[in-house]
Amino acid sequence: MSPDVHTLVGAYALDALDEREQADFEQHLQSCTTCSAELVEFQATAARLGEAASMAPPAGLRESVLAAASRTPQQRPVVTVVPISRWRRYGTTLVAAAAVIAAVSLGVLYVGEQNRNDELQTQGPVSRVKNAPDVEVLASGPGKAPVRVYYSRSLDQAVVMVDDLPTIDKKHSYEMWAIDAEGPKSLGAMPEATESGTKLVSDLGQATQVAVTMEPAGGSPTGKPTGPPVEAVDLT
Amino acid sequence: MNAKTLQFPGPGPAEEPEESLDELLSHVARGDEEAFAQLYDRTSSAVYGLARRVVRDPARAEEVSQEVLLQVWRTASRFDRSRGSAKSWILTLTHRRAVDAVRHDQASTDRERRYDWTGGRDVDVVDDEVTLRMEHQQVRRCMGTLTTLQREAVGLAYYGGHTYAETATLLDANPATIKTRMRDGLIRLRDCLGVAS
Repeated sequence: MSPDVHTLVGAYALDALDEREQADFEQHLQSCTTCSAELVEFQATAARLGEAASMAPPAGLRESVLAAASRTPQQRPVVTVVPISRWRRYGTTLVAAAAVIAAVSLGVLYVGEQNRNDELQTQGPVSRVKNAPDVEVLASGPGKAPVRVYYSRSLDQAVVMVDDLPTIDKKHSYEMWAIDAEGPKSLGAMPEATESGTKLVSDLGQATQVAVTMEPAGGSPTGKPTGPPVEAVDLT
Repeated sequence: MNAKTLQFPGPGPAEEPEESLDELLSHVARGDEEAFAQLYDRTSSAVYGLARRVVRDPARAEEVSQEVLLQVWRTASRFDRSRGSAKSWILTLTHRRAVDAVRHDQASTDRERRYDWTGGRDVDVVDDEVTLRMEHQQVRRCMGTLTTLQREAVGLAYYGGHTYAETATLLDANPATIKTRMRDGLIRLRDCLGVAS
């Protein structure tokens, strides 16, 4: 093991390698017991950093996770007992089984792998809208527009993505509005001094436009925009 | 092992012995939905808080949390306790997924997320508040024992979701140095936090 590769243990435990380096390092790990022992400790250390960031999740998450689990099949445990006669008879089976055992023995390292079906089964509401067959992508302007709306009429849901609006201070928030024949209806204000964010919207109704205004921190006190739109996206 | 180190001797009365997360996870692996609900109650704040810290956006963090917790449900049978505690496994999955989300969204999301490893005002915990506050303090204290470069390298990578190459650019340092600082920073943190295998 080269000393250079060994120093990657830290960056790997922090998920700070790019994809190619990550794959190379995982390859290396299979033959480096020192690295994997150190990695277990680093991952436990990183988990402590993670736990220190604890924050109560939104109330609806519990129900949605538990409901999703009850309709999601579980992976079967990997059976490592293979009759000896089969090991002898099928050389390739032996290799494949050994690969599975090796993978399982890597346990905690084995976190990135997922097949496409799993991905679809577990994707959250935002991905579901963005991947909907009838999704329309509407932007507030050409090129790298600051506001984009992913709108699925079949799901009657939209994802509003705000990216890199002009910088604002802590006394101000951006607020999003759905505008229909009756006027603007708030889709919620972003946290103060925040210029980027994503919001899942379920009630666009007959709205023809999504607009963003700059408001006092926490959102407009009147429930209506207090200034002109900073950006607007036509939905039609 | 690590689950044990997360328990602090609290000032309150001794609590009833609780099933360890590792045991709970083994019930989950057998399809026990009740055990999964308990596991949710004991890990969701950590999962959501970490996802939120890395991806920043609350809706995206919620999505990442849901994906991770379902991944825990689906793949509980693959958990290998010889490779660390259940909590470590779950938070490793969380971090990986949060970082994937950030990198996946890179083209469309502001990459200049605020770097705030202490994040005091974000911490808002429903249960086990005392334990968590102590955990937070201990992590803060141990982060304080790192050199500035170690602390910044570890913080930008872990809480900011940056690669070491990006971290090097942000800190105007040599990438090879940053790789090394990440490792020796983790060694120092590991020893300070008393993590041992």
